[in-house]
Amino acid sequence: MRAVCTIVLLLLAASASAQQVAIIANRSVPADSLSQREVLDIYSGDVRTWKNGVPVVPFDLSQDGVVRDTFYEYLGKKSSRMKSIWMKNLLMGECQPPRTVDNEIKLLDQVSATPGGIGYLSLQSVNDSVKVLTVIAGSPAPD
Amino acid sequence: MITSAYTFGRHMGIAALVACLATVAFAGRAYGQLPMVDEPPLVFGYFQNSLAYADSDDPDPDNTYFLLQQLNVILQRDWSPDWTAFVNLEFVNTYSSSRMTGAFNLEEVWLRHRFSRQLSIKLGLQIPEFNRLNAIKTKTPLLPYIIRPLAYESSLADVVALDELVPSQAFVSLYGSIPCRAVKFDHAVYVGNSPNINTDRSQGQTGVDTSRTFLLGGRLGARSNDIQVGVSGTIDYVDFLQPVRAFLTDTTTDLREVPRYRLGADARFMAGRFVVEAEAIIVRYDESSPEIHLNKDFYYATVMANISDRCVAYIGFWYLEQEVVAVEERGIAFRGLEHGKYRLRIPTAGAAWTVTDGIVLKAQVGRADQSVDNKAFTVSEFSYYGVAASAMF
Repeated sequence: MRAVCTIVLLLLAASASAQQVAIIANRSVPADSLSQREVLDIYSGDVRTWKNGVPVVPFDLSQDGVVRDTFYEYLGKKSSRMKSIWMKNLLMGECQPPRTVDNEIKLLDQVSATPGGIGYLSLQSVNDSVKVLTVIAGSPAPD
Repeated sequence: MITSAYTFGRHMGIAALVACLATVAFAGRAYGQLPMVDEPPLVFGYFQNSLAYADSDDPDPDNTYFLLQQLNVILQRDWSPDWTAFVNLEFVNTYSSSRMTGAFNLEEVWLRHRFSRQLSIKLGLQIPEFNRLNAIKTKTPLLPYIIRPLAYESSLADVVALDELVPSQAFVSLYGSIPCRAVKFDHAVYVGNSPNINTDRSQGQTGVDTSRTFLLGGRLGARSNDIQVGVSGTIDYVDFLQPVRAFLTDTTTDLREVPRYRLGADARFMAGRFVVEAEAIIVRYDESSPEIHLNKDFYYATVMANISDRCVAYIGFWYLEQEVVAVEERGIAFRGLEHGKYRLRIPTAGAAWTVTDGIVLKAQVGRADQSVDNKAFTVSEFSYYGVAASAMF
């Protein structure tokens, strides 16, 4: 019994320290939630406008890290694979790659200020200036 | 057959013209609605420099050479989310007009309107969708190869009839992608010029005449997360007999506009660290003359291993088989045409390392084994060793 309790406590602790990532969008975006496939379609350039015709403007974090890794894990693509898709889209004249920003604070500012903007950051960094479309429960954050 | 081809060509011409006029009219209307565009046009591009060593079994000396294989300068303007103008200028083989080396090509000059994800129209000079590799064959940063699979390698134009294997230009295309659950179905249909109809300068003809014959082609594909497959096809008309017309004994058949059919299939699979890609191209002529046989088959397969996120190694095998016709002469008297089959097999291996985003270092080796069962031709084996750097700017 004691062993079971210990395991449950450890699992709870791990869950608490897991990095939760929020997919956020500008408040004008006409969507309240997105599926994994819809997010992938946006970030791979297949979907380029919202339902109201406003262009989708995806943002990406420029530096590798837990938040970025969690996001790409959710998409089911390595970041290197996504980069090759973006490069192909660029060279074929299809669409531009996501705009990159240095950190989560800038990403939040950019998404809140850009009509049609969409991005991702850690859940605790979100505020009321944007809407949350999806929350990804990521793997535990490193110490 | 040829008469019906004329009718078909005329209908295609009218359809293409209507599509052009409708889209340009729509473009004009849409342009009037556009807000002023403040952002300047995008200017970017890429180049690939290489160092190669080639040895051959024939008496020619081996050679080692540096080469600016390719420089592409791309200009792009997004007039709105739906309208894009795109220009791709290509300089190949250390282009220099003063030194008379290399070549300059207007590779792509088009205007696109994206109606939706399912349908876009592209007007102007463009590279047609044919198999997976044709549209990206000149985008060196996307490819691990230095020497591309035969049908796509412009530096092998002396050995391989590239324009016969794959269509190089189209002028109007409709394309898009239709999602269905986890699968996306890609479609593309295009029209362009037949390659060399009415270009006989000795007859006063000065260019490609599209009043009667067109290139018509398309591709249907499906892709999911790890699998991508497609089939492609074209029909156009070719006057491939110009060089040998004087030697033909068959004068009963009009061989000036011979239908040509290309059929292609492509597949790409990803499994863990491995990627397998393969293509087949079959070219068939409507051979009304028993004297002319110029069919061609090409196949390639490549197995890639992603050693890391930035490094890929690959092995591949390319196979080309084409019918050849030799004009056999004895002294100055024409004696006849001799037919045969030319075969080219190239096993190749290489690696590509992405140093940083936009910069790729490449290495490749290949060994070409040629054979021909036509004594009019002589062939030899040759090897290729190359390193290259491809960079975007």
